[in-house]
Amino acid sequence: MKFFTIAKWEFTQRVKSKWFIFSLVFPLIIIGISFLPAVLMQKNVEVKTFALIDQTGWAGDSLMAAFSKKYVRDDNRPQYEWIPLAGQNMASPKAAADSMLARNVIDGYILIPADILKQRKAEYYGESVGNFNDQMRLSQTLSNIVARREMALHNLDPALIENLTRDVNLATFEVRGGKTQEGNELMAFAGPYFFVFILFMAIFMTSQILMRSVLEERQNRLVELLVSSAGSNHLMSGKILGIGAMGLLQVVIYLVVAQVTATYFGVDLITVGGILGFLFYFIPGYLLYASFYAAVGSLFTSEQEAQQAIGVISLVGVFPILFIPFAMTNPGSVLVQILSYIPPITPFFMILRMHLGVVPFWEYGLSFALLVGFTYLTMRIAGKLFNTVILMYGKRPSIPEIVRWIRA
Amino acid sequence: MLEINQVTKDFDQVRAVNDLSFTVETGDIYGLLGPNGAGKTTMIRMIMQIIQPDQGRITLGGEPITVKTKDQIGYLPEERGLYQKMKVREVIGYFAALKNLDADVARKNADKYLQRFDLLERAEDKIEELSKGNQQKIQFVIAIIHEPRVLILDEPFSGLDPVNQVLVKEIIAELQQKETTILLSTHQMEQVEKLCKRICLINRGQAVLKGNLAEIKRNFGSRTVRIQSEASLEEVAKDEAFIRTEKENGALIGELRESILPHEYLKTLVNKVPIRKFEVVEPSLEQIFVEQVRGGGK
Repeated sequence: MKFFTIAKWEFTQRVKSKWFIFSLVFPLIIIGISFLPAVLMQKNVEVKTFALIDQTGWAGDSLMAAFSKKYVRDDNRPQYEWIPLAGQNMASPKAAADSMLARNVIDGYILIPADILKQRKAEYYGESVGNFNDQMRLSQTLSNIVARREMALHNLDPALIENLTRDVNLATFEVRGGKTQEGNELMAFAGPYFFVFILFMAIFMTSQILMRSVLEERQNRLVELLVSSAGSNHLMSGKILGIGAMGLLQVVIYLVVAQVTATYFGVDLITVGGILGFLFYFIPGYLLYASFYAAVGSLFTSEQEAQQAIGVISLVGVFPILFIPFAMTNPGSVLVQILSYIPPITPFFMILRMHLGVVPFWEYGLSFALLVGFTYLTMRIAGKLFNTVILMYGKRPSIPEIVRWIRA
Repeated sequence: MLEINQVTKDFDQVRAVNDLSFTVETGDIYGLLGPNGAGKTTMIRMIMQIIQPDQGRITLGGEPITVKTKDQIGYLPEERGLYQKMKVREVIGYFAALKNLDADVARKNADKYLQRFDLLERAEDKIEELSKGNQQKIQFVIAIIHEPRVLILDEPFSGLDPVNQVLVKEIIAELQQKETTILLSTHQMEQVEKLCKRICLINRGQAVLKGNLAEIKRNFGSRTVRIQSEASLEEVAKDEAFIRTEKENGALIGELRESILPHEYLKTLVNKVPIRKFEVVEPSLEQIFVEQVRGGGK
């Protein structure tokens, strides 16, 4: 089988190249770089300094005490340092705080008004008010302090108050197919991103390589010899198979590295079901885009022109990635369900849904059947176009010409 | 024996090949000639089954060409190139594998022909490190690596220096001795004159001249005369007996009308100018080619 000879050649030539090794290392570096800040943040939290203007005489001390008890760094230093201003003899503590803020002595200041019990309002001033984390902590802690104060004023037993204001710890469980298991928020968050991203890379990077390879053979005037030896059908299918196998090898390596890393962090990232689902959608998804890219590659002689033509198509793949946050907050949404039946984006949305919850079996079947049908049609058209134009040089074909060839 | 029988091919509104027939005998070197756009490459692509004829038959040894028999054809296309980043031996091996040649045989043959072309020590070099001429030689090696029954060469001499042209010609002659059937398409008429016994000249997809080269030249030559004289030949050149004339190194070369034979014309000429030399010449293939193509092919 000549297509097998071509596939073997494409596979070995790609895997042997320096580019392949780079392509394995590069994403790992990217992942490393994107995890680094998070790891650094956890290890070495910045200490923040807040000034405090307490007009109540009771809330400020409780706030500082609660913070130093609750928010402590790994090296046992408190995460927050406080400069109380109210007790000091100064004309306007607010003016003093503003001046400290302007001189960057403090990161922000909190004003607790005397009537906080009644109004339930406090004020936070900072150079930037974008740090939700600090503000949420302040708001929660102050609410708690005010509630305790209120209870104490109603002569409740301090032990009872302690009991009433205890935090509730929310444990999470995943229920799939009747089975309940302890949930893993990190996995639930990272899983969909990881798999959709890997699928995106596998499909589009591999298809791009295929397109470049077709272009290279055209530019180097190799096509005539190849087509005369093997026929254009064998040439196209051999190239798709060989380069696809390289893409698959790449993915397998990524998955193994990801699993090893995940295991280190105690997370079970990759499951047998996950792998099967991935392959289930990768194969028709790749064939769909690969045949399309191969046909585009055969239409042009310059890479620039081909890239322009293909640019819009790559956006189709980015769309599902942009959709992940929405799908995560609305996993059962009808919109997400509908989108997963549009063949060119079916692989991405089905992988996404698979990792967000249980998808009924019939939905896998139907979406897969639609995808396979559409892929078959695309391959037929792309094959026809490839056979027609592969040996044409010179003028770039016009859209009506392309339509005529497809119809012929 | 490669037989082309009444083959026609249309592209959109253009008839690229029109009812073309010719036969390449086993062990023969056959010249397929024609100006640019005459339909030579289209004809060759149909033999190689890259495209299918609309009408007519192409057979090899009496059988239609199939995927299997195609492996017995070697092809050096005019549009040719190589994988620039790959090593010489790898590229040759790949194309040999595409012809279903056993890997060991391929290696042995590659070494043999690389040696012949003085390129054996460069077998592990990348293609891009070779000069254009050397790349041409690799392409030639690829065409003959599987020692094909039929060899189709489209402009095999273009890009080669005179030394390598001679080398390629020698190898073509050797292959002919091994009964390889060779179809040679080229613009270089002197190479055709040296190599081919039979030719087919096509113009606008049609055969305009076909057959034994020596006979064709004899037929054309019988009415072409070369006249040398001490006196001016200006008046002679205007003589109505000629269809056309040209000057060459002080001599006058003229093609006589069909009704006038050279020896009859000589009788009238001796009365007009003192003649130093009068001869009947065979035109070069190039002259025949130009005349046929300019004359619209008939």
